[in-house]
Amino acid sequence: MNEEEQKHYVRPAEHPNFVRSVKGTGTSVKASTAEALAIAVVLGMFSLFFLGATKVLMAPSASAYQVGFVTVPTGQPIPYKVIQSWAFGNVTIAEVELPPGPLPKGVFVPQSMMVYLAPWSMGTGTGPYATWYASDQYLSVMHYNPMWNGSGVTVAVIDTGIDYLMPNFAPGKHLILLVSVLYKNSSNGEPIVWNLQQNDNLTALYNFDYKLFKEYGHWAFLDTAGHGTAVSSIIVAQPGLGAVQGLAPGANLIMIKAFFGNGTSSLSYVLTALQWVYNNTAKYNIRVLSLSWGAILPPGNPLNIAIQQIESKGVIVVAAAGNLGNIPGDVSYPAALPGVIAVSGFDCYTGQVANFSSIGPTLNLLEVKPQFTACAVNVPVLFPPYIGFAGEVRDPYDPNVTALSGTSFAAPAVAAVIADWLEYYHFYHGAWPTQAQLMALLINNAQHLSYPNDLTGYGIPLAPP
Amino acid sequence: MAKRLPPDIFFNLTGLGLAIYLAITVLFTSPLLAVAMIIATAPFAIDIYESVIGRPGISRGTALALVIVEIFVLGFFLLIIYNVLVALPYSSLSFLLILIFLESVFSVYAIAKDLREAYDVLSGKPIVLHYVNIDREVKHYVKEVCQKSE
Repeated sequence: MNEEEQKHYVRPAEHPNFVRSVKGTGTSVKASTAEALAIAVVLGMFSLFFLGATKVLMAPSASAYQVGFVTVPTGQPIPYKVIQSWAFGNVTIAEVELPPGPLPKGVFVPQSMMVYLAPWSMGTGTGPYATWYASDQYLSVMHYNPMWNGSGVTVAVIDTGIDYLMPNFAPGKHLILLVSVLYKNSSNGEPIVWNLQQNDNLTALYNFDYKLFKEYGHWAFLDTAGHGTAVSSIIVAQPGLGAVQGLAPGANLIMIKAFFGNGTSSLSYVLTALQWVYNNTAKYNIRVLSLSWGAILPPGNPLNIAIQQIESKGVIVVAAAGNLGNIPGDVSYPAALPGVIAVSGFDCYTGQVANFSSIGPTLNLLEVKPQFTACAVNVPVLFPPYIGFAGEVRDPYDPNVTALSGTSFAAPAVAAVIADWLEYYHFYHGAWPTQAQLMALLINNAQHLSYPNDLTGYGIPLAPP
Repeated sequence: MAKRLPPDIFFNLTGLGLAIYLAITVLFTSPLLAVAMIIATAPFAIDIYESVIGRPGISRGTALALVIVEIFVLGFFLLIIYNVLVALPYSSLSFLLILIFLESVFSVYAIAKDLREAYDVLSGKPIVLHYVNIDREVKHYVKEVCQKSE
């Protein structure tokens, strides 16, 4: 962004109105008297419980309008007042105001507009430091070969931003672009962008960012949660600059900031970020999209439609399965979406599935979900030095390094290995693989832990030989 | 008391209680499992009803509806059993997962029993009505099976 653009760039993107609404559901069962009685008693108990609870907790006021999402073919008029819309090729998703009253058909009204980072935790630090503070852990587990380091592949990450002041990310060389959907360019309504390849003056970038923070309360690009920095370090942290090295240090990284410092965002912000990816796939050669967040949503939600559209452009989407525990069927969206590569968490020290990791199956019972697993317990990562937590454990030899746990840190490892495989495939075939070809490569070269299952998937994907 | 009630009731009560408990426990983390558990309460509740009051005849439509719903749920529970068994060396086996595994086994048994009965109805076999009478004098139960032709 040049100075001229900076002058008239910005208005902060506003928080959407969070209007809670209750979507009624009905169940009708035809059965003989005895069965009907038994079923009615059970369903009645549940209905009373849920309706009672939701009525008390989530009743909208009489005058409140509801916010919903509709999906229509692009160009088709939308019969409601549109708050915001996102075009994904031939499909347009619109956030609309719905009048009070019964819910029209075909409208998605989320119980909550919020999207969360999968809850993550600091490493316990109970073991000897030597067991976690070096990134040798996942480099060796995933058989990293420096010959294939993701060169020529761009990985996009939608997260909390990045600590661009860390030299480990090689700003301008491998960290090529910063995008923020928290602010909009007033001239075209697009998210603001800082192209580090064109302007790698980090002081200017920081000053610009700080100015926004002072004026509107949010840093546009800087990571104030630490999550995005940690995730990015697993992908692209440069070798020889500390204890942590990424699995694809030759890849280009685009960080799209769509989450606030407290780790929350909304469907609107996330859709804006996904639309930016969709519109810029070709321009920046985005081949992999890494998502370390999720939400419990019904299958027909707009997030899924947006991600399907991105996949249709040949982008491989990798998502964290979630940290809701080993409860069958708790993989959150977008990881649960067919076609998205979901990654569960594995404890590489004990050789067991992490007890916080979400596991399958999903509605599509025949699909193995999550597809892969990767190190997610006490993973050594880069973490901004200006963020502190009670009880945090830092590497005594490198204060920028700490250990974190969560499937958030397994997904980028798989995304990075995919970047390595893409480079490998492109080198030998002169073309990018399709998703099916890539999956075949990953599955054939994975370290199979057992038969394919919904806890460890096809195993740990290994880097190219 | 234990001698006066058929053992099926204890199995079914355990299955029903566990299904309700798990449905509530996982409601916000795994709506899919919660729905499966809610559906799984039906075979247990029906079996309890049959054990105590007697088994009514069911229409073919009802049997077909049961088959369709229960086959999906059966597949889901079989998948859970498969996953836990296959990934056993890598699973940390939390208490909740063990409960879910046990409930899956119970549900598979109950659903399989229901499916067999539904198959009888769909294939036009004579409807078999089971009546369970508790004989309070001799402190044990007697099961009478009355066959009725179509």
